[in-house]
Amino acid sequence: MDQAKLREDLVAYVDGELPAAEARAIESWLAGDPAAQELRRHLQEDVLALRGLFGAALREPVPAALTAAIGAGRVAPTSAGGGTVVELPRKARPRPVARWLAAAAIAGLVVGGVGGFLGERQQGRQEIAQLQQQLVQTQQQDQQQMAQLQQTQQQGQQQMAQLQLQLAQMQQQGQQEIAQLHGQLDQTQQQLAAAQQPQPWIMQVAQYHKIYAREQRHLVEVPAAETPHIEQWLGKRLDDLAFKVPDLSAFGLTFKGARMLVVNGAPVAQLVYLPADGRAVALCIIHSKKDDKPLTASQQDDLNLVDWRVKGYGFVVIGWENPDALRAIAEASQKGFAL
Amino acid sequence: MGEAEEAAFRSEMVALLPRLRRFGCSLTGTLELADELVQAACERALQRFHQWVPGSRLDSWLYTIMHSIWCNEIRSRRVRQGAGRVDPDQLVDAGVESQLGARLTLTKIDRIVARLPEEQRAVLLLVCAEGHSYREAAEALDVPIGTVMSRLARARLAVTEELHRRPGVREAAQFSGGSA
Repeated sequence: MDQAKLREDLVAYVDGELPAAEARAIESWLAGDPAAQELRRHLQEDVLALRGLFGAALREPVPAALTAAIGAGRVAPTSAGGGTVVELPRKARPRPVARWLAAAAIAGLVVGGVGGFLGERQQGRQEIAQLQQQLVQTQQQDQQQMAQLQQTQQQGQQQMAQLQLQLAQMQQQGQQEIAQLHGQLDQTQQQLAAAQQPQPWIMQVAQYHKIYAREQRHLVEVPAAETPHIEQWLGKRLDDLAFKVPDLSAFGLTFKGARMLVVNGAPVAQLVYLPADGRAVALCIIHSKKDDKPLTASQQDDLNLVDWRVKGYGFVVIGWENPDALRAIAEASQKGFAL
Repeated sequence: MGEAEEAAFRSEMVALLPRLRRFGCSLTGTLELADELVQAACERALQRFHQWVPGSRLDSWLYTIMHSIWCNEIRSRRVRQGAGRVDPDQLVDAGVESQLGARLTLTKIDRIVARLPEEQRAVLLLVCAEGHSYREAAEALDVPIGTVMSRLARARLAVTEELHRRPGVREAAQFSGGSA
């Protein structure tokens, strides 16, 4: 298979989306080529950085007028003016936002525009007529906009100042977060470098847990408020496993949410719980072809683990709780799964 | 649709607004256009409420509607008006940039993602940030799953190559390859 195809397939493999037949070719490539192993490691790390980048966009404040228009069916923000957000004239520069937000649209649009350019005279005349019409419209719009501009100039200036301040804060926050993520990635890189060959999945999951458990804002990908979605989404990714998020409140643990990890090309569901005071406990599930296995305690560095397998699914509970407490949590967790 | 039913549906859409705007940005490139697109899509969703299968993912359905409105209506309108020719670097306000100085130095990955074609960025966002499977992303964007796979692979490989490129080593610029 050629190198370009292998590289494309490796991305799907890292996402756990490559069919088994193609996955074998990737695995043998990975086994024999250190450069391929390095590429896989980079692809896995960069997903975290991308999530950080896209996550920042969710903190863009939603204009009140838009919320009102959608929530209550009030007049559109473009024609209202009753909203708290001042409408800047159309010709104002776009608000400065993260560059990826501001960039898009361009490549496709320019190509589309050039493609429409044909030398035929008839069409040329029509285009000129259209352009003249547009020019008149634009001039009218400009006059309206000038009037609007004078009215809203003062408000606009105030808002710009606010936005600049907000932007500065957001930028600073975003950079701190990305720097943090990069620091974590360096650590992950070292850990992964120490173990280039595929490891038992629970060891990799434990490494992930150490990283994510330090997160405050990004502890989970999908919050506990969306529990039905979590059960549906992760169940589907685990080959249609029907499950309910186990209730571990008897152990003082509150369910905070979930994320999906990918280990050796396979999806892993990670359910995250927090004690009132202390560090996160995670319950992770993977689809496994291996035989059933009873609850088994183990340790990795300062982390305690209890893992087991039932009817084609592997489970592990990970945390800094003592081994007896963790075993009791594991026993209670089994009840959430109708296997 | 009954009144209570409509109110519940509207409040579900309001809860999704930050994510809808983010998806809109990945397609349109500005918050202003994203807001216009989000509003148009929500209004259309209300008109077609009967087509929605309760229990299925509302976000995916709204993404599908947004993508279709963007491709078939707003984008083509902007192309006709010649609004497409914009240098992405100029969209970041130069005055603000100089005032804020070093704090505005945008990070490397931000720039890399900004230079991706919109279709690649949309897939990247759906799969990497929203946790869509390839099949769900294909349904949301109404393209074959093979297209999702190749767009995503191009985007991810471009990001990874740029991010980990060693100084002094020039690799083939996979960016300029255009959208899949």
